Amino acid sequence: MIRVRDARKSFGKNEVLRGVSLDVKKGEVVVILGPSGSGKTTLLRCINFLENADDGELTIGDLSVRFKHATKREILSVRRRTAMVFQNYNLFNNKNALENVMEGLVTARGIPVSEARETAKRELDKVGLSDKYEAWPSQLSGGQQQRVAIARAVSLNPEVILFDEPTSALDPELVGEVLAVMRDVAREGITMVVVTHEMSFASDIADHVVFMDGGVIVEEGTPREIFTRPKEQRTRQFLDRILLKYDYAI
Amino acid sequence: MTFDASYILVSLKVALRYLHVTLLLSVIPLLAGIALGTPIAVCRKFRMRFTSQAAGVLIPTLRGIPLVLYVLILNFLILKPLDMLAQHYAWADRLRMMNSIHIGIVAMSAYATVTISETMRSALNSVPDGQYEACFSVGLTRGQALRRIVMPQALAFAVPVLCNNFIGLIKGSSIVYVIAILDVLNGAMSSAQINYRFLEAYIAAALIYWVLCISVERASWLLERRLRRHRAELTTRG
Repeated sequence: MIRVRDARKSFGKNEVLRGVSLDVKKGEVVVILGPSGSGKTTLLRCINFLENADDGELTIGDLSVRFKHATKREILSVRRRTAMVFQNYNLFNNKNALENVMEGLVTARGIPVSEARETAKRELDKVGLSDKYEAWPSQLSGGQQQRVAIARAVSLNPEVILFDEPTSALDPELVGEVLAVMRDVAREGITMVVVTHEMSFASDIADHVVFMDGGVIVEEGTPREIFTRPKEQRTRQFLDRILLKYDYAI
Repeated sequence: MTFDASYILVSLKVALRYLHVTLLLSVIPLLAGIALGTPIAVCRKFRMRFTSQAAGVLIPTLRGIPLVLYVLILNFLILKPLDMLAQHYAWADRLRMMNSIHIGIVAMSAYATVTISETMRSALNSVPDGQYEACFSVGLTRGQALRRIVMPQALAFAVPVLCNNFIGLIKGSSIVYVIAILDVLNGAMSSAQINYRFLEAYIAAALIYWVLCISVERASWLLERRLRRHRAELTTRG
């Protein structure tokens, strides 16, 4: 269970998060939508302390920290309960696919190498890369790299996986394979917070949809509520622009 | 006096006796420079308090001083206090008589530290921030991230420049003649003091430096290829 209370973050004079509160139940898939600059990514990055939020409180399972006063030890334990999938994959360039998945298990978690290797192989098999154990990131396509990144995140068995626009940097034809893997992850009952512009993914997979704009949560609810009858004007405008309803007749 | 190639051989023989001095004056500073320059670069990269500020002022200042002045200034700074101490203590007298090679090594090391800290800083900056973020996201500490992921990548970027630094140190070490150290150049010249074949002596010294530098370049190329094996396929990707 993840709970964010009143997260605030400014970059200089630019207030990116103006008090965001978010609840994610265990096993839930939460999709965050919103126009660019609305603070979705920043919110995600604050949850695992890649950005230091100025104020607010974070609870992950039984661990509660105040963003402002988090100690190094607390930050590390938050990070060891979360995992992240980045827009640009960010695989370790000096490690092959297998080592990429093993790194967190061995170095951060202290799991024996042989055991970590088995886990890593299992996770890579699950994302359909059983023939790419030894491949360097530079030898993999974007979609394959992102699938390794997802395997890396899942292998850590975190309380939540944060997906930061995981398909935005991909060629359109590679988006499908990554979304398919994410569907599988969701089916396993892993808690996910996903920032994405893939509306069909959001409506199919999400248990809960959050619409953010201007650093606040404008509206949230089930996919059905948000996509079919949004209450707020801003949500409606955004969805109309994204979904491009072809409701004209010829 | 006409040019006589056979004297090159004579000088070469004498100069090679001092090869170890030139190597000492370049290899130790290289290692010291890496050992001391890397932490300085890391402190500056992470903007550590005090150390990074001190380095931010000191390094650019020290970088503007020529190598010959390092040698002269450190020679003075080391010998003068020892002179004074030696008037009172017997042990200081022993130190005062120490081989000037040691002073040369200290001076070259100081110079190398300044140069190599900048090399390592630029190498660290070549590793994308996303690599750190990925490390943190899987729960690595900053030290683990540096050791396991960032440094190996930074080193691959640094090797060609370090090779350049090393060649600079090898050639630069010839400047120690100002404090009367017998290295390859001085050794070659000492043979010319007797037979007055200066041009041949210079050529002999140049040959030795040339062979040294070519070997370093070759070794660096091999090392670079090894460190960048993960990038081997970069060009074949569409």
